[in-house]
Amino acid sequence: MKRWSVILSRVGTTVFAIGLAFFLVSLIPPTPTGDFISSGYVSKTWVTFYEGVLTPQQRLRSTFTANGTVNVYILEVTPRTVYDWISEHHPVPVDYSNVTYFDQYLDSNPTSVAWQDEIRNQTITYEYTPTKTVNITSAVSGHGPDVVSTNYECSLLRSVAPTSKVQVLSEIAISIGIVFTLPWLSKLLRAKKRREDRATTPREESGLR
Amino acid sequence: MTTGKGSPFLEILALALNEDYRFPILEVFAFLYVLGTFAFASFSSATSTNVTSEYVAYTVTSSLLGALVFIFMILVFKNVAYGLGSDIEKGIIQTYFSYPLKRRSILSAKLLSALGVSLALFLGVQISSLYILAPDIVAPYFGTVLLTYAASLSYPLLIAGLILLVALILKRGGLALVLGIVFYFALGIIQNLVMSISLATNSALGLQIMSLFSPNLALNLYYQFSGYPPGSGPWIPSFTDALIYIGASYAIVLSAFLLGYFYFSRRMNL
Repeated sequence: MKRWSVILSRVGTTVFAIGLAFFLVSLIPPTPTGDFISSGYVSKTWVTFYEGVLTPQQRLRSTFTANGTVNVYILEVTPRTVYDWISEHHPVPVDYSNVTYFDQYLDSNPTSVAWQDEIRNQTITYEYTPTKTVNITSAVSGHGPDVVSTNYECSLLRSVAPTSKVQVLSEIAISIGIVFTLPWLSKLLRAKKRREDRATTPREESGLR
Repeated sequence: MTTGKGSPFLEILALALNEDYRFPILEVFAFLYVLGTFAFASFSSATSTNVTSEYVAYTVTSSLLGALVFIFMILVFKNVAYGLGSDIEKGIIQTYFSYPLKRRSILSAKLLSALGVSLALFLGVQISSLYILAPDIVAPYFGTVLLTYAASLSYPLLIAGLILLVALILKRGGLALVLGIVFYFALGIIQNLVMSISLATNSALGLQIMSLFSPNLALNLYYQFSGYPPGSGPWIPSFTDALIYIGASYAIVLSAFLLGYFYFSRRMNL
């Protein structure tokens, strides 16, 4: 067997092993590390429920329940950042909880929104997995004049790795590993078949005699 | 692996690679490095306030290194102490002398396989896995990540240099392997003892001497206490101090390997 073929096959088996490790990591279920419950009311205002720092090994599972129409958000900033932005852009003291200022902030900083949705008298659950170490804020805003009651529950989950990212990588690595290893495997099988043929042929010949 | 025509150096390198990384050694270690990176990574400093981003990059990288460096050392022990030692013990090394190569080139080929490939696999797999886990830490602070690896790997490489010398002098694979493991743990124990004594007596000398062999100590003290007023601990090295200790420790590592080369080329009777 040519040397380059052996090197390629060993690279293939190594990449395959790395892919298997990624696959195994992606199978490890997340462990709950803390729960948080809160509630609030919105009427042309916005409120924050949870703030913290998440690492790539953590996930935030949030459940929002409202008895009216509200917008729910997961922001990749601290509430302080939003307040600072509002005070910077409005030199005169303003009501920071006013939804207009919050919307202005979101329009100017769309990258700070990790996820958002609108709920109408319903419950919604969203699991947020950060791709880097980030500040996180769960927020709710209500644009209507009616007072809407919102309940918020969240649990922090610790996982070994960002599952979706690792799953994709494992698929790629395993596929590359198989492709690289196939020529070596086929040669190995052919060599085995040849050996078996050689071993059976003399016996058949002697049986004929 | 069949041997074909090629340069003698590559021939010996191919033979050494074939011997050091028989299936599935390479695969098992790559698997363990990936798994270990995810299992041991700790982002506890990332959630703390009042810490610099460099400190976070340093602590996240350091968190991976403890157990995984030992796994790396197992491969080095197997290849250098047991592999090379057994080759000398069984007289296999004498067949290499029939190649038109100087002794130092033969040793280079053996070390490139035993240490170079192990190190490339360790660093390649670990840094890639760390990047997958925390791209925001690895990409902007790649220099800090590399510096942490350089500081942390100096001590294992010194052990590798010492076990090379021991394997060459004793010409016994098994004994070199045992002594390598003893060196590895003994130096670790001494480091902890010196650290305790230095903290108790508020003396910097012990820490400075240990940093010559294990410069990660100096780098750790720099990141942990940078910004603290002088006198907050027995010794708060500056960044330049940490770099000097890393450089000095690699000079010691280089000396150990040069001694090995000198002994193998000039003094060793086979």
